[in-house]
Amino acid sequence: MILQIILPFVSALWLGILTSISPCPLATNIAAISFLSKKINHPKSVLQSSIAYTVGRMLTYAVLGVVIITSLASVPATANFLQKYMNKIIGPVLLIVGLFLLDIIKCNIPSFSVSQDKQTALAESGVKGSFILGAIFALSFCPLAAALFFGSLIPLALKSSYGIVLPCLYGIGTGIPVVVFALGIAMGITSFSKWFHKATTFEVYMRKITGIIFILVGIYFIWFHIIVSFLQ
Amino acid sequence: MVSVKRFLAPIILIVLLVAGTTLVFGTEVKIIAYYFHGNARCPTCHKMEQYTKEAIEHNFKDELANGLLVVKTVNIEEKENEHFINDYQLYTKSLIISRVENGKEIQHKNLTKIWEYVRDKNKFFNYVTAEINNYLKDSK
Repeated sequence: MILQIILPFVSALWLGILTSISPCPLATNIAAISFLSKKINHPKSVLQSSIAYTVGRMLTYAVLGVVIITSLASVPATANFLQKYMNKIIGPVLLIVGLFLLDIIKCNIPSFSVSQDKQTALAESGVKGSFILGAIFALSFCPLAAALFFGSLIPLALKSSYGIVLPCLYGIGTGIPVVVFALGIAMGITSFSKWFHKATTFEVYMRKITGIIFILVGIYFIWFHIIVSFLQ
Repeated sequence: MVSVKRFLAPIILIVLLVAGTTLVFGTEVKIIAYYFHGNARCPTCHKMEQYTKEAIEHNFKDELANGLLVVKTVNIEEKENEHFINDYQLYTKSLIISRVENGKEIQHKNLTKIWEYVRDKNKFFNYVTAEINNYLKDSK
C-alpha cells in the first residue's frame, strides 16, 4: 500500500534524473553547471544558486503540468510548440548573456529601462539569475525530455491523485545532476586553489569561462535549431 | 413487376460482383510504419530512424516487396504533414504503425518504447519486429 503511494513519486524523480543525465540536454546542462559554479570560492553562494536553479525548473514543470492536467492545453500542441520555438529562442538568449558575462556588450542604451548596475547584478547574482536560467532551460525540450515528460510523466500525473506534485518532483530530478556537478566543481576547485593559496585568481576567470561557454552553447543552438532548419 | 426486376437485376449483379471480388482478392490491407521527426534532428533521432529502417528491411523483405508493408519518414514541421500531430497525438519523434484497410485506417499504435530500447540495437529490432508482426498477423 505504502509502496503504491510512494512509487509514482520515486518514478517522477527518477524520470527527471534520467532526462538530465542523457546526452540530449547536455549543452544546456554544461551552461547551467558553469553558471552555478561561477562563484567557486563561495560554496554557500553556489548552493543558493543551485537551489534557485532547481526551483526555477520545478516551477516551469509545475505550470506546464497544471496547464495540461486541467486540459487548458493539449499535450501535442504544447509539446510541439515548445520544441519548435523555445529551442530557437534559447540560442540568441545564451549568446547575449554570454556577451554580457564577457563585458563585450554593456547596456548603455537609454531605451533599456534596466540600469547597467542592475544588468550586471542580474548576471552576477546567483539566486535571481539561476532561477531564471532554470525556468528557461526547463522550457527548452529536447526530443528525449519531451518523450519522458509528455509520454511518461504526464500520464503518471493524470492517473495519480497527487497529480501536480509529480511534475515538481520531475523538476527536482532534472536539477539534481546539474547541482551535484556544480557543487562538486566549486568544492573541488576551492580546496585545490586553497592548496596553492590562489583562491581569488580562479574566481576572476570563472565569469569569463562561463561567458565563453554560454556563447558556444548559444552558437550551437542557433546553428542547430535556426540555421540548419532554415537550410532544409 | 417486370420493370422492377429490370431495375433490380443490375444492382444485384453489381453487389455480387463486389462481393465476389472481395472474396477472391480479400480486403486490401496495408501496414504503414511512419517515423515522424521535426526540422532539428538529434543523433539519437537519426539512430532511431536508421534502426527502424534496418529492422524492417532485414525482417520484412517479402512484405516490403509486395507492398503489404510501407515505411514512410515524415517531417511534421512541413505544412502538409502538420495534421499528423493531432491524428496521432505526437509529442516527440515517434514511430507509429498504422493498419489501413481499403484505404481507411483501422488502427494505429505509437511505439513509445523506441526511446527505452534505442541504446540496445537487439532489443530495438526485436520490439519493432514483434509489433509489426502483430499488425501483419491478421493480414496473411
